[in-house]
Amino acid sequence: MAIAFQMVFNVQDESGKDATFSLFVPTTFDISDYVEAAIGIGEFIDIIVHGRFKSIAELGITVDISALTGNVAELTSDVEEIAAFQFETVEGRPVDVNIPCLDETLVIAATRELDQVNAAIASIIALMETGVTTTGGQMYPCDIGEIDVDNTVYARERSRNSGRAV
Amino acid sequence: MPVSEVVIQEGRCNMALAYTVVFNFVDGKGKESFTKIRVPTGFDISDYIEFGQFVAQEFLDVSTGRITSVSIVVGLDLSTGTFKAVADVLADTFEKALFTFNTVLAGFRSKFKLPTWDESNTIAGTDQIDTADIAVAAFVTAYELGIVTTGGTVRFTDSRDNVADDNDIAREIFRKS
Repeated sequence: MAIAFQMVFNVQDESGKDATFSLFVPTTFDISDYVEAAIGIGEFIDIIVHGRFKSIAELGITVDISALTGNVAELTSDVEEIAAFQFETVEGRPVDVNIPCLDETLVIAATRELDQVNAAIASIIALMETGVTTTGGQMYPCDIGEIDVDNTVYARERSRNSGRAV
Repeated sequence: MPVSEVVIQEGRCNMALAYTVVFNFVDGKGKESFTKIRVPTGFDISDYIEFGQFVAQEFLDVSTGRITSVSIVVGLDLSTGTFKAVADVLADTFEKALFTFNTVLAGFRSKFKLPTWDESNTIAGTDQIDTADIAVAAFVTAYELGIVTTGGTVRFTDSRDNVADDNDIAREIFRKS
Protein backbone atom coordinates (compact mmCIF):
# COMPACT_ATOMS: atom_id res chain seq x y z
CA MET A 1 0.00 0.00 0.00
CA ALA A 2 1.10 3.57 -0.63
CA ILE A 3 1.90 5.92 2.23
CA ALA A 4 -0.49 8.86 2.20
CA PHE A 5 0.67 12.43 2.60
CA GLN A 6 0.01 13.95 6.03
CA MET A 7 -1.66 17.34 6.44
CA VAL A 8 -0.85 18.84 9.87
CA PHE A 9 -2.89 21.71 11.30
CA ASN A 10 -1.98 23.83 14.33
CA VAL A 11 -4.76 25.16 16.55
CA GLN A 12 -4.23 27.59 19.41
CA ASP A 13 -6.45 28.03 22.46
CA GLU A 14 -7.30 31.12 24.44
CA SER A 15 -4.25 30.77 26.72
CA GLY A 16 -1.89 30.53 23.78
CA LYS A 17 -1.31 26.79 24.00
CA ASP A 18 -0.90 24.97 20.70
CA ALA A 19 -2.18 21.59 19.62
CA THR A 20 -1.92 19.83 16.29
CA PHE A 21 -4.01 17.30 14.47
CA SER A 22 -3.33 15.43 11.25
CA LEU A 23 -5.44 14.39 8.30
CA PHE A 24 -4.16 12.07 5.60
CA VAL A 25 -4.60 12.76 1.90
CA PRO A 26 -3.80 10.91 -1.32
CA THR A 27 -0.46 11.44 -3.04
CA THR A 28 -1.62 12.34 -6.54
CA PHE A 29 -2.36 16.07 -6.36
CA ASP A 30 -0.37 19.27 -6.85
CA ILE A 31 0.70 21.43 -3.92
CA SER A 32 -1.84 24.08 -4.90
CA ASP A 33 -4.61 21.46 -4.68
CA TYR A 34 -3.51 20.53 -1.16
CA VAL A 35 -3.64 24.20 -0.19
CA GLU A 36 -7.22 24.40 -1.44
CA ALA A 37 -8.12 21.18 0.38
CA ALA A 38 -6.54 22.36 3.62
CA ILE A 39 -8.46 25.62 3.49
CA GLY A 40 -11.66 23.82 2.54
CA ILE A 41 -11.68 21.28 5.38
CA GLY A 42 -10.15 23.77 7.80
CA GLU A 43 -13.07 26.16 7.35
CA PHE A 44 -15.55 23.40 8.25
CA ILE A 45 -13.55 22.56 11.37
CA ASP A 46 -13.09 26.18 12.39
CA ILE A 47 -16.85 26.45 12.93
CA ILE A 48 -17.04 23.51 15.37
CA VAL A 49 -13.97 24.24 17.52
CA HIS A 50 -13.20 27.12 19.86
CA GLY A 51 -9.55 27.47 18.91
CA ARG A 52 -7.82 29.58 16.28
CA PHE A 53 -6.15 28.01 13.28
CA LYS A 54 -2.60 29.17 12.67
CA SER A 55 -2.18 30.48 9.16
CA ILE A 56 0.35 27.88 8.03
CA ALA A 57 -0.47 24.17 7.92
CA GLU A 58 2.11 21.61 6.82
CA LEU A 59 2.04 18.84 4.27
CA GLY A 60 4.36 15.95 5.08
CA ILE A 61 5.52 14.01 2.03
CA THR A 62 7.30 10.67 2.47
CA VAL A 63 10.10 9.99 0.00
CA ASP A 64 10.63 6.48 -1.31
CA ILE A 65 14.20 5.53 -0.35
CA SER A 66 13.98 1.85 -1.24
CA ALA A 67 16.51 2.31 -4.06
CA LEU A 68 19.28 3.67 -1.83
CA THR A 69 22.46 1.59 -1.88
CA GLY A 70 24.73 0.90 1.05
CA ASN A 71 22.00 1.93 3.48
CA VAL A 72 23.17 -0.16 6.42
CA ALA A 73 24.39 1.14 9.77
CA GLU A 74 27.90 -0.02 10.67
CA LEU A 75 28.33 -1.36 14.19
CA THR A 76 30.78 1.44 15.03
CA SER A 77 28.60 4.22 13.63
CA ASP A 78 27.64 6.97 16.08
CA VAL A 79 25.06 9.73 15.53
CA GLU A 80 27.09 11.97 17.83
CA GLU A 81 29.98 12.05 15.35
CA ILE A 82 28.96 14.62 12.84
CA ALA A 83 30.15 15.96 9.52
CA ALA A 84 29.54 19.65 10.17
CA PHE A 85 29.23 21.87 7.12
CA GLN A 86 28.60 25.58 7.22
CA PHE A 87 27.66 27.42 4.07
CA GLU A 88 26.92 31.04 3.39
CA THR A 89 24.03 32.44 1.37
CA VAL A 90 24.43 35.12 -1.28
CA GLU A 91 23.40 37.55 1.47
CA GLY A 92 26.06 36.30 3.85
CA ARG A 93 23.78 34.38 6.21
CA PRO A 94 24.95 31.00 7.54
CA VAL A 95 23.32 27.69 6.60
CA ASP A 96 24.42 24.66 8.63
CA VAL A 97 24.17 21.04 7.52
CA ASN A 98 25.28 18.43 10.05
CA ILE A 99 25.35 14.83 8.84
CA PRO A 100 25.30 12.21 11.63
CA CYS A 101 27.49 9.11 11.75
CA LEU A 102 30.47 10.65 10.00
CA ASP A 103 32.84 8.22 8.28
CA GLU A 104 36.05 9.17 10.05
CA THR A 105 38.21 8.10 7.12
CA LEU A 106 37.09 11.37 5.53
CA VAL A 107 38.85 13.45 8.20
CA ILE A 108 42.36 14.72 7.43
CA ALA A 109 44.80 13.04 9.83
CA ALA A 110 45.70 15.05 12.96
CA THR A 111 43.02 17.65 12.20
CA ARG A 112 39.28 18.12 12.51
CA GLU A 113 38.97 19.15 8.90
CA LEU A 114 37.07 17.08 6.37
CA ASP A 115 39.02 16.23 3.22
CA GLN A 116 37.33 18.49 0.68
CA VAL A 117 39.36 16.86 -2.10
CA ASN A 118 37.66 13.55 -1.35
CA ALA A 119 35.01 12.87 -4.00
CA ALA A 120 32.18 12.22 -1.52
CA ILE A 121 32.85 15.39 0.49
CA ALA A 122 33.30 17.42 -2.67
CA SER A 123 29.98 16.11 -3.94
CA ILE A 124 28.14 17.32 -0.80
CA ILE A 125 29.70 20.75 -1.21
CA ALA A 126 28.85 20.83 -4.91
CA LEU A 127 25.19 19.97 -4.39
CA MET A 128 24.84 22.68 -1.76
CA GLU A 129 26.61 25.35 -3.84
CA THR A 130 25.35 24.52 -7.32
CA GLY A 131 22.12 22.66 -6.61
CA VAL A 132 20.62 19.39 -7.76
CA THR A 133 19.27 18.72 -11.24
CA THR A 134 15.62 17.67 -11.18
CA THR A 135 13.06 17.20 -13.92
CA GLY A 136 11.64 20.63 -13.10
CA GLY A 137 14.97 22.39 -13.18
CA GLN A 138 17.99 23.04 -10.98
CA MET A 139 17.01 23.07 -7.29
CA TYR A 140 19.32 25.19 -5.14
CA PRO A 141 19.46 24.63 -1.39
CA CYS A 142 18.70 27.81 0.49
CA ASP A 143 17.97 29.35 3.88
CA ILE A 144 14.52 29.71 5.38
CA GLY A 145 13.97 32.91 3.42
CA GLU A 146 14.73 31.08 0.16
CA ILE A 147 18.05 32.87 -0.32
CA ASP A 148 20.42 30.55 -2.19
CA VAL A 149 23.50 28.98 -0.65
CA ASP A 150 26.56 30.47 -2.31
CA ASN A 151 29.85 29.22 -0.81
CA THR A 152 31.36 26.97 1.84
CA VAL A 153 32.66 28.40 5.10
CA TYR A 154 33.93 25.19 6.66
CA ALA A 155 33.66 21.39 6.60
CA ARG A 156 34.85 19.70 9.75
CA GLU A 157 34.32 16.88 12.20
CA ARG A 158 32.28 17.68 15.31
CA SER A 159 30.82 15.80 18.27
CA ARG A 160 27.31 16.64 19.45
CA ASN A 161 24.70 14.97 21.67
CA SER A 162 22.18 13.00 19.65
CA GLY A 163 18.50 13.94 19.47
CA ARG A 164 19.15 17.62 18.97
CA ALA A 165 17.97 19.44 15.89
CA VAL A 166 20.98 19.79 13.62
CA MET B 1 6.92 42.58 5.41
CA PRO B 2 7.29 43.87 1.85
CA VAL B 3 6.49 41.47 -0.94
CA SER B 4 9.70 40.55 -2.72
CA GLU B 5 9.84 40.59 -6.47
CA VAL B 6 9.75 37.01 -7.67
CA VAL B 7 12.63 36.12 -9.98
CA ILE B 8 12.62 32.64 -11.39
CA GLN B 9 15.77 31.56 -13.15
CA GLU B 10 16.73 27.90 -13.34
CA GLY B 11 14.88 27.29 -10.07
CA ARG B 12 16.27 30.27 -8.14
CA CYS B 13 13.38 32.19 -6.63
CA ASN B 14 13.09 34.64 -3.80
CA MET B 15 9.96 34.20 -1.71
CA ALA B 16 9.49 33.60 2.00
CA LEU B 17 9.45 30.33 3.95
CA ALA B 18 11.33 27.63 2.11
CA TYR B 19 10.29 23.99 2.25
CA THR B 20 12.34 21.54 4.32
CA VAL B 21 13.74 18.12 3.41
CA VAL B 22 14.36 16.04 6.54
CA PHE B 23 16.73 13.04 6.64
CA ASN B 24 16.46 10.67 9.62
CA PHE B 25 19.44 8.55 10.62
CA VAL B 26 20.06 5.67 13.00
CA ASP B 27 23.47 4.40 14.13
CA GLY B 28 24.72 0.92 14.92
CA LYS B 29 23.51 1.19 18.52
CA GLY B 30 20.01 2.30 17.56
CA LYS B 31 20.39 5.97 18.46
CA GLU B 32 18.64 8.38 16.17
CA SER B 33 19.32 11.80 14.77
CA PHE B 34 18.37 13.90 11.79
CA THR B 35 19.48 16.68 9.51
CA LYS B 36 17.60 18.94 7.16
CA ILE B 37 18.09 21.03 4.05
CA ARG B 38 15.86 23.88 2.97
CA VAL B 39 14.76 24.15 -0.63
CA PRO B 40 12.90 26.83 -2.58
CA THR B 41 9.19 26.75 -3.31
CA GLY B 42 7.90 26.60 -6.89
CA PHE B 43 8.71 23.04 -7.91
CA ASP B 44 6.48 20.01 -8.37
CA ILE B 45 6.28 17.38 -5.64
CA SER B 46 8.05 14.92 -7.92
CA ASP B 47 11.03 17.32 -8.16
CA TYR B 48 11.35 17.49 -4.37
CA ILE B 49 11.22 13.70 -4.21
CA GLU B 50 14.03 13.50 -6.80
CA PHE B 51 16.05 15.97 -4.72
CA GLY B 52 15.49 13.99 -1.53
CA GLN B 53 16.50 10.69 -3.12
CA PHE B 54 19.65 12.15 -4.70
CA VAL B 55 20.82 13.93 -1.56
CA ALA B 56 20.07 10.92 0.64
CA GLN B 57 22.48 8.84 -1.43
CA GLU B 58 25.10 11.59 -1.27
CA PHE B 59 24.74 11.68 2.53
CA LEU B 60 25.15 7.91 2.76
CA ASP B 61 28.47 8.23 0.94
CA VAL B 62 29.93 10.20 3.87
CA SER B 63 28.02 8.49 6.69
CA THR B 64 28.32 5.08 8.33
CA GLY B 65 24.75 5.28 9.63
CA ARG B 66 21.49 4.21 8.04
CA ILE B 67 18.88 6.58 6.68
CA THR B 68 15.53 5.40 8.02
CA SER B 69 13.33 7.94 6.28
CA VAL B 70 13.31 11.07 4.18
CA SER B 71 10.40 13.47 4.21
CA ILE B 72 9.55 16.84 2.74
CA VAL B 73 7.69 19.44 4.78
CA VAL B 74 5.68 21.82 2.62
CA GLY B 75 4.03 24.88 4.13
CA LEU B 76 0.36 25.32 3.22
CA ASP B 77 -0.78 28.93 3.41
CA LEU B 78 -4.27 29.13 4.91
CA SER B 79 -4.38 32.92 5.05
CA THR B 80 -6.85 33.26 2.15
CA GLY B 81 -9.40 31.11 4.00
CA THR B 82 -12.09 32.26 6.42
CA PHE B 83 -11.00 31.44 9.96
CA LYS B 84 -11.49 32.93 13.44
CA ALA B 85 -9.11 35.80 14.08
CA VAL B 86 -8.80 34.96 17.79
CA ALA B 87 -9.57 31.87 19.85
CA ASP B 88 -12.82 31.82 21.82
CA VAL B 89 -12.53 32.44 25.56
CA LEU B 90 -13.54 28.82 26.24
CA ALA B 91 -10.95 27.32 23.93
CA ASP B 92 -8.87 24.54 25.54
CA THR B 93 -6.47 22.27 23.66
CA PHE B 94 -7.11 19.46 26.17
CA GLU B 95 -10.77 19.29 25.15
CA LYS B 96 -10.88 17.19 22.00
CA ALA B 97 -13.29 15.44 19.67
CA LEU B 98 -12.32 11.97 18.51
CA PHE B 99 -13.57 11.10 15.03
CA THR B 100 -13.13 7.69 13.44
CA PHE B 101 -14.12 6.88 9.88
CA ASN B 102 -14.22 3.51 8.18
CA THR B 103 -12.26 3.31 4.95
CA VAL B 104 -13.01 1.46 1.74
CA LEU B 105 -10.69 -1.32 2.96
CA ALA B 106 -12.50 -3.29 5.65
CA GLY B 107 -10.79 -3.16 9.02
CA PHE B 108 -8.77 -0.04 8.26
CA ARG B 109 -9.84 3.25 9.79
CA SER B 110 -9.00 6.91 9.57
CA LYS B 111 -8.99 8.68 12.94
CA PHE B 112 -7.99 11.99 14.42
CA LYS B 113 -8.69 14.22 17.41
CA LEU B 114 -9.78 17.83 16.94
CA PRO B 115 -8.46 20.06 19.76
CA THR B 116 -10.40 22.91 21.40
CA TRP B 117 -13.69 21.16 20.76
CA ASP B 118 -16.85 23.29 21.12
CA GLU B 119 -18.74 21.37 23.80
CA SER B 120 -22.07 22.87 22.70
CA ASN B 121 -21.81 20.29 19.89
CA THR B 122 -21.83 17.44 22.44
CA ILE B 123 -25.17 15.84 23.41
CA ALA B 124 -26.04 16.90 26.96
CA GLY B 125 -25.34 14.26 29.60
CA THR B 126 -23.16 12.19 27.26
CA ASP B 127 -19.75 12.22 25.60
CA GLN B 128 -21.33 11.72 22.20
CA ILE B 129 -20.92 14.39 19.58
CA ASP B 130 -24.16 15.64 18.06
CA THR B 131 -23.67 14.57 14.45
CA ALA B 132 -27.16 15.92 13.68
CA ASP B 133 -25.92 19.43 14.42
CA ILE B 134 -25.79 21.31 11.14
CA ALA B 135 -22.15 22.40 11.42
CA VAL B 136 -20.94 19.00 12.63
CA ALA B 137 -22.89 17.24 9.90
CA ALA B 138 -21.38 19.56 7.31
CA PHE B 139 -17.89 18.73 8.50
CA VAL B 140 -18.58 14.97 8.52
CA THR B 141 -19.99 15.16 5.00
CA ALA B 142 -17.02 17.20 3.79
CA TYR B 143 -14.63 14.64 5.26
CA GLU B 144 -16.52 11.70 3.76
CA LEU B 145 -16.91 13.19 0.29
CA GLY B 146 -13.68 15.18 0.08
CA ILE B 147 -12.94 18.76 -0.93
CA VAL B 148 -13.29 19.90 -4.52
CA THR B 149 -10.08 21.52 -5.78
CA THR B 150 -8.77 22.70 -9.13
CA GLY B 151 -7.08 19.35 -9.64
CA GLY B 152 -10.08 17.26 -8.63
CA THR B 153 -11.71 16.12 -5.39
CA VAL B 154 -9.21 15.50 -2.61
CA ARG B 155 -10.62 12.61 -0.58
CA PHE B 156 -9.32 12.00 2.92
CA THR B 157 -7.64 8.69 3.75
CA ASP B 158 -5.97 6.66 6.46
CA SER B 159 -2.18 6.63 6.70
CA ARG B 160 -2.01 3.85 4.10
CA ASP B 161 -3.92 5.85 1.48
CA ASN B 162 -7.22 3.97 1.90
CA VAL B 163 -10.07 6.42 1.22
CA ALA B 164 -12.30 7.29 4.18
CA ASP B 165 -15.88 6.20 3.68
CA ASP B 166 -18.32 6.79 6.54
CA ASN B 167 -18.24 8.08 10.09
CA ASP B 168 -18.00 5.42 12.78
CA ILE B 169 -17.19 7.17 16.06
CA ALA B 170 -17.64 10.79 17.15
CA ARG B 171 -17.15 11.52 20.84
CA GLU B 172 -15.63 14.03 23.19
CA ILE B 173 -12.41 13.13 25.01
CA PHE B 174 -9.85 14.91 27.14
CA ARG B 175 -6.20 14.42 26.24
CA LYS B 176 -3.03 16.33 27.03
CA SER B 177 -1.64 18.03 23.94
